[in-house]
Amino acid sequence: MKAFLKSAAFRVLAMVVVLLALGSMLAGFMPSGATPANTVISAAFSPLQSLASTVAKKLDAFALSFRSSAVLAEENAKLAEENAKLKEDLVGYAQAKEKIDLYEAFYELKKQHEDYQPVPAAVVGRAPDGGYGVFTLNRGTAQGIKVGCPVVYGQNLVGKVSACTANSSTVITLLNPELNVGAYALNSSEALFTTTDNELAAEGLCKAPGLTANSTLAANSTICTSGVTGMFPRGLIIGTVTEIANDPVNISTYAVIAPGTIISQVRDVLVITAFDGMNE
Amino acid sequence: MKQKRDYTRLKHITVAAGLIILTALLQTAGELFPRPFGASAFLLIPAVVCCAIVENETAALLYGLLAGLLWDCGDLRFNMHAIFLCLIGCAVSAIIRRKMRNTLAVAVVLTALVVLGYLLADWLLTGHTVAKLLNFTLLSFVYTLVFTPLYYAIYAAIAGHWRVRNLA
Repeated sequence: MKAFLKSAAFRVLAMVVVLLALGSMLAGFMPSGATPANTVISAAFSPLQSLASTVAKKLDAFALSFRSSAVLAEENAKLAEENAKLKEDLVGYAQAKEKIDLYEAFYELKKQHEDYQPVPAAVVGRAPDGGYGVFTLNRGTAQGIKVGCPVVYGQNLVGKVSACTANSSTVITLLNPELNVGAYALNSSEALFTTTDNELAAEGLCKAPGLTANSTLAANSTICTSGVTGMFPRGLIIGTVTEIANDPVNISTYAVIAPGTIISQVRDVLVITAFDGMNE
Repeated sequence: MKQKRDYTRLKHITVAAGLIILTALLQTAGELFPRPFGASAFLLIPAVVCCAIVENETAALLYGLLAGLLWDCGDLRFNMHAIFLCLIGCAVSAIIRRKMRNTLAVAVVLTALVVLGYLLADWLLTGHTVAKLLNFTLLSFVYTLVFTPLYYAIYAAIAGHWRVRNLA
């Protein structure tokens, strides 16, 4: 042990750990929100991640057509071939439809809110454990994305950018307890805020805590962003109330909200880089 | 002679680091690696442990640093994984050089301890429900551990091929 503590490796280790810890602390003061080491590494790694993500999608399509062919080959080789081709087309169609849905939502969003400046981006990385509702996008400051930009899928709020480099960004989603969003109920205009906790996040849900005794919030109420803090534009859909529950810690009640989009399955999103009232 | 040795060393570093980069891609890029029953393989941990077993402390530390920084690309705000894997790389190499033998069983035991520590910390910090412990933490522990012999074999082969260190 003493020999190790006196070795050059230990000195290097101590230096590296101190530098990394300092970098993590510095990230809080950087405009990009990213640590210096991650900024450098992600510049090289994010193109590789994009490539890997594309390969994964292709493999997905291949696996589907392979499975279908194997089953149908037992019945008729010719039919199997035709069927496999149709399956391949279907996968292509599904992927194209996904894109069209996104662009349609993008068009609708742009039509309704001319002040929005959206940038399309693809999800290229997720933490293996779901990462506390954190994922990585393949677009960054080079495309005008800044820390704090809202991330949406159609009219649904997904989260906000928490750190970015030239060509990648980290997004914290509605399933991250760090993200609090000013909100209101569409049917009653009741002012709320949404957040989540570990248990609800694990189920893909968030909540609006601290409901008052005269709250009219009920199941199926739609919750939207209020836009009061200037962090998010007004009127984006956060989700729908699924139940009103009693808080086990205190005497208040809270609304459980199912986000408008299934965040763990989102592949393409829009990052709104500018809107009227941003940061006001 | 020295030039040839340097070139061999460079090839060795390229292959070892390349394997870590490939592992990082498999671990972080969406659906590239299968997730049976919702379990995840935290492949960078066995990769760093097995690499550290055949490398000296400084090299193991640097491979751990590379692996950790690639892992941290998933969340650009922190360097937690870089610090974690640096410490693990250096500690494993130091243990192997001073206290333990370089065998597959040791690699599996060390990987199991590190993965278990990581997953339990993750479980405690991100919602310690019994359901998550059974459905994710324990499954992921077993799923990650399955790949240890593969990484051990690869890194032992790499080290043996370039004769970085005589294997015990």
